[in-house]
Amino acid sequence: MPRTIPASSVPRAHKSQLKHATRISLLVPVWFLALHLLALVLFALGFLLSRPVLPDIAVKSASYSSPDVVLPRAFKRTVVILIDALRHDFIGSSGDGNEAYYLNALTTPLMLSVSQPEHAAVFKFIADPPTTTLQRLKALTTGSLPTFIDAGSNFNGAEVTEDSWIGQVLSSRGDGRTAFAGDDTWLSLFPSLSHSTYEDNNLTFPYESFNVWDLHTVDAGVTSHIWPILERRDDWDVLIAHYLGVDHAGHRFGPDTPQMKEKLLEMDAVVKNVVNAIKDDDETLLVVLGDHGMDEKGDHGGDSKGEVEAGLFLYSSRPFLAPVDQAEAINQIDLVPTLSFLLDIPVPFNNLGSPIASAMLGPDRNFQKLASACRIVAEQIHGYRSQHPSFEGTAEVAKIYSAASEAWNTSKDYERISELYLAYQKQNLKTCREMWARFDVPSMIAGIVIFVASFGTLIVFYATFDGSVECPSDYVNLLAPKIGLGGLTGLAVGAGLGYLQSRLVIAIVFGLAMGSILGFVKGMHRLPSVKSPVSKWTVLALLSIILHGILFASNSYVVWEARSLSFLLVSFGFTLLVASFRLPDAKLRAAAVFHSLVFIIQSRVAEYPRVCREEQLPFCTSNFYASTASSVSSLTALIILFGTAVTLPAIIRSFLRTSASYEGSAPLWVGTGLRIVLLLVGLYWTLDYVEADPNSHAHAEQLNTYKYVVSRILLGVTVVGAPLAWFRGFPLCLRVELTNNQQKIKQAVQNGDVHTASKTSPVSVEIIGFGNTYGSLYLLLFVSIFAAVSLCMKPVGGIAMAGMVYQILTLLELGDVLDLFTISPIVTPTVIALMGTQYYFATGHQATLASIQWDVAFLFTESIRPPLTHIALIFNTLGPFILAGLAVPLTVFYKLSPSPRDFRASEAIMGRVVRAGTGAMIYAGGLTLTSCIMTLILRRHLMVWKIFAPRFMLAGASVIAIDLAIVTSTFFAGKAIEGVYDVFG
Amino acid sequence: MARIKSTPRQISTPSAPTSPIAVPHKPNTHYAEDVFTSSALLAFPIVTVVLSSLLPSDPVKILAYSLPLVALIQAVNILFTSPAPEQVSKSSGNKKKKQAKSTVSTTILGLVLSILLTPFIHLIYILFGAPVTVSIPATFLLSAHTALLALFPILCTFPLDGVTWINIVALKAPLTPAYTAALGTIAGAWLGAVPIPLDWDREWQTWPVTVVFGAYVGNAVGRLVGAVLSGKEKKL
Repeated sequence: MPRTIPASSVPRAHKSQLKHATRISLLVPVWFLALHLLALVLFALGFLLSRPVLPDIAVKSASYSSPDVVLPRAFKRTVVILIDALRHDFIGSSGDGNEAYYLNALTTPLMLSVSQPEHAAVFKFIADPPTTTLQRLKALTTGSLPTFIDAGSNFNGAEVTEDSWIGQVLSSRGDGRTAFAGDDTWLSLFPSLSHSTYEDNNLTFPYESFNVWDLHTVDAGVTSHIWPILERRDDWDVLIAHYLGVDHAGHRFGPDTPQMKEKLLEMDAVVKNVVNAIKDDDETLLVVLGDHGMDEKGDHGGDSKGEVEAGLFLYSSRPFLAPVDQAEAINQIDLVPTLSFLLDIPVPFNNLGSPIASAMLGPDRNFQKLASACRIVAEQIHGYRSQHPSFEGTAEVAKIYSAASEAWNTSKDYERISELYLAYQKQNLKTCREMWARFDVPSMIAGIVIFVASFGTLIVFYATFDGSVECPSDYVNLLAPKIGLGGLTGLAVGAGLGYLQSRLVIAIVFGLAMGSILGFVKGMHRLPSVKSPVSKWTVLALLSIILHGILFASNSYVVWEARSLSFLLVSFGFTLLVASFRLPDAKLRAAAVFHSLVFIIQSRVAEYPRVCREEQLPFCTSNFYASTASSVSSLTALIILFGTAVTLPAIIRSFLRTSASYEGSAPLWVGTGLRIVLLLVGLYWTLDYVEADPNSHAHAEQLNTYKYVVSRILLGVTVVGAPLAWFRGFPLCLRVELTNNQQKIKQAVQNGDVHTASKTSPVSVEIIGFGNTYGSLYLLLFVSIFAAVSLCMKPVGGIAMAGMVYQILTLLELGDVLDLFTISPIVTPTVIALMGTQYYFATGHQATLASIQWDVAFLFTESIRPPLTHIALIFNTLGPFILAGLAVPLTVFYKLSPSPRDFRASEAIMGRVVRAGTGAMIYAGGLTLTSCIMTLILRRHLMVWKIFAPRFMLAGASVIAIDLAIVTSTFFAGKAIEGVYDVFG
Repeated sequence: MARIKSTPRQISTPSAPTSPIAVPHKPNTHYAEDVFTSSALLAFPIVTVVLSSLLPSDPVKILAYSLPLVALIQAVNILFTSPAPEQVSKSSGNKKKKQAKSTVSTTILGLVLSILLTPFIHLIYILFGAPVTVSIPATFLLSAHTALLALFPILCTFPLDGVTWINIVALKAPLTPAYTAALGTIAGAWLGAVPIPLDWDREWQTWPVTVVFGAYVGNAVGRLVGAVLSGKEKKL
């Protein structure tokens, strides 16, 4: 029985006072969490452009059947050849042969457009940045403007749920009337493309776009498949061929290289052959296009001229074009309404493009056709605008629309009508661009200001709040009213000013946050100034925050962050090693040197499990899954996972034994409970592994049932059961040893040693594990949450999380031996938080949206069901940060023994916990602050959407995760302190 | 425990008879020392420049060919600037002759130990993130160069006993030129890793060019600091 002293012996008044103190101390991390949240909200409002996606599907309006409407003749078939990264000058310019390699290679389009201007035309095809394939494909099919997050998009983010010409073709001509070969991105955007089979003949041939360094596999595959498809022209209406070689040649070698020339010549042959193949067929339209261009290095993603200027080539053996100026520039989204008319389908609902005039006019330059097309598109855009709440207040645009409609109704001057409708479309596009593609810099700066102020406040708080001296409740009691009052005042002032300036949200949020900080500053004056010397370790902690933050200044370091962090942690490990060598006591020194070496090795090993991001290729090989092209874990990983299930409890036991704390509840909780739970986690992933095997398909249903039973039991035990048991029982890891001293006294009396005899009490009580009472108690709760996180990780991630627990314990032991907890209470929390980021990468994640392991959403349920789905995703994605935050109180509790009958001391321990928590928050907040600043500075950088924006989002998510974990852990720590006081008070 | 420091600034003072115990403060008379310290200070920037201009073309080859040269420079430098630890403590008799002889043997011993410790340094580089399975020759040669720059002089000038070496690792040893040069080498190599991830696609970014460069520059800076500090009994 752990409870040796009855709880009733504790004075009731002190007990409630302590309870009050632990409760009120929670306000500190909660306030900082709120500040970080407010800052993030403001920054994200200004930075993350979002666009509501309307699910409506267009149908042909009444105008189509109006007698005045004359539309260009549609084609039966369309061949779309998408040459990835086809820059305009690759097809649109010619040189004398001595110029860049990329000139004079893909010459067929320009030659045809010159020789047969009514059959062929080349356009400058302007993309809206970001010039990345996924965003471009969405725009090219839906006619919408890209934004970073398409709000309202479906769960895994990839599938296009908006209306698109692909969707319209599939619904009007039937599934299977499309043929496809090339980049498999298309199939993730439009899964129904893969239904294309005709009489059991497969017409879909996707290829992975993963390996950027392979120039030929995809292209050779596409070319080999399109010829048979082209021959069977009655089996399909739309053929899409997506070539990747030009893009890959650009990434790998650059545009002005022989390799690019070779690739372009190959593409020229493809275009020439396709043109020849459809020469006799006036019912087929050929569209050759680039989704984006490339810069002079061959990369893309940003908004430089070379990247946004792609090329477009239209061809048919039927004359269908009004001859155009070769340099004519059109928007990429203009393809959407144009294709809609040429394919005879309704214009997609969200389209913002205008029809290409040349293709509407036709060789006879019939303005009635153009005006009709423009009217239909304008109607569609008008309908879209009326569905869209954010367009209110842009009456000027609507005015042009009514003017144009009036002209249509009253006159036959189709040229003028076309102009009016086109002007409306242009104006609409302009307002949309302004609305969706503009950073709100004041809002971003306001967010950064709050971050800076809260960072300063955190540091001031940390520096002045010496938990070992002051009682947190006094401190909080003094400051909380000031902060609250300041916040309310700021809120009121902000609301007033914001109302006047019509920037209500920003002003209110900013006023609230800054007001509370000013209140804090005002309250600070009342406090006695504490001057404590800054230790070298504190300097080191701040230095590691700065070094980690500086990484965000360069895209390369963001890309290689995991390795950079491993480098930093190893460096810190060597610092620990040097400090260990400084210990005077030989035995302690040996132990510390051993743990330092283990810490160094752990930091290096933590860098090993990885899923590479695109930018790391070819210098990186993924090893997180069984192969680079799958998301199934390997058998080896499963075996190691079972290995950790057996060994991790033993490792924890060995750490607890250093303070003789493997007593009381510990053997049951860690040795038995944790081991069984971890073995069951292994069982779950084994079932998952078996299920992925195609041979087990017949038993899929039973397997699924078992899987869900196991996972739900585990979740219940680790997140609900064990914590509840902990709160109710306070499972202290102590053993009381009663020693009967009668023998000893007798002996002493016999020896005439009266002194010893009288001093020795008949029965002595020894509490084994007393020296780590707090640490061992808290550790039990910690491992329970760890087990839950471990369950939500893929097998390799689970192994990594076990490694994280081991590394945290190593660090704690070192912190105890080197006395870091008292010399510098910030350094261990900082390093633990840094480890949180390191293990984020070790669990198969990257700072990209694509690395989110969406499949764990179905860990507990077959379909998406909150909160289980969300728990799985949050634990999987942010688990390392959560564990890091939860581990922070251990930097106070580890090897801490209670001070019996001293409730002031218990309160001071709470103060130290709060202070350690602010230490971790300084790291998390500082990191997010630097990320925000870099993102603001680099918002026009060409890598912003691929690298800096996702890293900012990770920083934002991690600061909230760590802050929330700190709040939770502070609460848990308060409970532990109360529980221990109940026993020893 | 005998700790010997080269103390050129005290050369002019007559060598007072001191007890054998007060070894650390014992001035010694190496007139050649100034010359060689400054020549070493000159030699290393030159080696650095030459190495770093040649390195990117074929790091492994250049590192391998330059290794004996660096070893020779270091050995000469050690022979002429550092007294042998054991000998100075015996302050009697035909000191000069004995000392020179012993220094040669110490230097050879130091060189052999440096070579033997190279795999250990290789391991440290791997811990800091060097590739494990590829570029093994490059990393090994880098380790050999690091051993010659950092370990070799220390092995020759510090006594080989546990307490001294614990102090060396604990950064508590006296700041002799050999020691500051070693610390400079480590700091330089550490900083040398910084530009590697940048996507500038430069030839000199190949492993381990920047680290070699950093180690040499750090070594030269360390020597300079050591030369400035020499004669003062300082610790970190």
